[in-house]
Amino acid sequence: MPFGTGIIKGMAKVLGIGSREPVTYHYPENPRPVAERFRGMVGMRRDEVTDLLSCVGCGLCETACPNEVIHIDTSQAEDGTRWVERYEFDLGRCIYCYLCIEACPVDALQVTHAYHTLTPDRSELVISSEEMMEMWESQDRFLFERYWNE
Amino acid sequence: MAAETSPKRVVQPEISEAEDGRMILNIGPQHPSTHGVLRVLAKVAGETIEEAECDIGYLHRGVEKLIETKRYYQGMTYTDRTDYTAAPANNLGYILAVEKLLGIENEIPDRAHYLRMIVMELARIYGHLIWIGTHALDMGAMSMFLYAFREREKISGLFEEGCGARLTTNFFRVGGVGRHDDPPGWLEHVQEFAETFTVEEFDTLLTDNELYKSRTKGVGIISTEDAISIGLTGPSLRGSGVEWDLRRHRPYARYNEIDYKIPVFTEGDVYARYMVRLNELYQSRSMIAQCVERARDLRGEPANANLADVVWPEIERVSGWQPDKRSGDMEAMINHFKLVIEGYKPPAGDAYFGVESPKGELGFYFVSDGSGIPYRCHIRSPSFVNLSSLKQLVEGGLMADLVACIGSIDIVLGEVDR
Ligand code: SF4
Ligand code: SF4
Repeated sequence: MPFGTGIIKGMAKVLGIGSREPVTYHYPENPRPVAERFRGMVGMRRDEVTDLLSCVGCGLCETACPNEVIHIDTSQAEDGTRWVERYEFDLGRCIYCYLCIEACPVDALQVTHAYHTLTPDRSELVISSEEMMEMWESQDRFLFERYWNE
Repeated sequence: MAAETSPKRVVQPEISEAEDGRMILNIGPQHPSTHGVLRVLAKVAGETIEEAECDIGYLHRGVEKLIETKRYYQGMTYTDRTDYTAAPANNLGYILAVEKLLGIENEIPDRAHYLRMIVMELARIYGHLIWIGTHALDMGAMSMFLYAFREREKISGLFEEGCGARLTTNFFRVGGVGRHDDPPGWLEHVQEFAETFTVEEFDTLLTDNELYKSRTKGVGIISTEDAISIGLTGPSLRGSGVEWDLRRHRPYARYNEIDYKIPVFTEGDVYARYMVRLNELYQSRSMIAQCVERARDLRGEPANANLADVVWPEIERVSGWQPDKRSGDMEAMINHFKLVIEGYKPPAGDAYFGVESPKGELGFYFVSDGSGIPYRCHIRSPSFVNLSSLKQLVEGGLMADLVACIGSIDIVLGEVDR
């Protein structure tokens, strides 16, 4: 084979590929659709009956999480009623492994497709259960939309 | 020299002061062609490298130690982050080692094995593509990089469809594939990928390219004896003429039930290692097609072992937020709580399991003291061992070949430093 044949063959290939349709997406104007199972931020289901947090405060998610993302405080009244005082989720530490969702026995934690965690301030990434419920309800909304629009 | 000005932190003790016209050249750790945060100290005479020394540790996160502080099921999330170019391969190594420790290797259903193999071979292509792209880019072939990443993107999409994540997959679970059983249409998409994956394109672009050949043929030669004595594994070893592949010689999953060849080249140079990886792309493609077929035949069969004391979550049996779904299975609930809180407890003892990752033999070694947390975890990472051959590859060669040599042993610094 004379010298240069391989190079010419390659160039012909490149020219051929150049005429194909583009495969890229123009993010962020036109983001790529995500798969059904996509692991976005962890959302929280709102209970249909009480319209409140559906978490029962068992603490399994806190135990299963490898990164200490979740912090739960529970309280008990004198009559024995128990409730979740505080449910805190530190998005900045989360690695989206979903062990917490697999652990939750009442399916309070839910899959969402939200993945924009844009913020100039880390402390804003610590979100409450209320924000988690909002995220679950609105699925793919930007969490920190205000920064995005700026 | 750093050694003199800061005596407390001696970072380059191996190469002595340069004398008589020699120069000590510092390559990396922030150099694109070192493929990560690798620092190479080279003593050069003109263009020739006389001595070379690697300085690693910039990416050390203590993964092994972290795994020793977590329950077994949590530890797997860290393995995604060692060799991040092919995360499912690490997941599989970890899972198989834990299964061996638990003594349940024979209870894993066939379908789980085939699904694991599909993902594993996808991961091999995934890992090789990033290698072929970046290595070719180092050699000046820009378009290869773009095409490799275009194909790689499709595999990312398949991972996302299968388990939800593109990079840090956390795919399998002890006892099977957990909740990541194949979603509807996934196997078809994998098959479509296997049919349309264009290895021939890479072949045409690089294999006969005279420029590429002249940069790689006869460069960075390592002999068979040296390769064995250093402990090279994977494509780097097979490029030196040794037919050693754990898939065939220490079979796991169902690798002994499908057809494939092990590409071996004897030259031991950069080009031979390229040829091995290129041919592995062809092989993996055909293996995926075979595995998809088998997995399809097994549709409807379970993808998780029926072991209540290991496989979690039994979320279908436990969970009850919709009244019609509520099973009220108290036994299952108690078991689930136990599994999450204590984890499964392998009997005291140790186990080692090595899998053929895209880089070579990836082994996990566990010592169990009978609790839910490993007493000791060691990762035999192929990149770390393969990197030790760099000295041999580059010494006596040209400075410009250093880049080709670093690229050709396919290291990932996340795995070297762990
Ligand atoms: S997804 Fe993983 S890291 Fe994030 S909160 Fe759940 S368990 Fe923790
Ligand atoms: S596992 Fe579920 S129910 Fe238990 S504390 Fe976490 S969110 Fe609440």
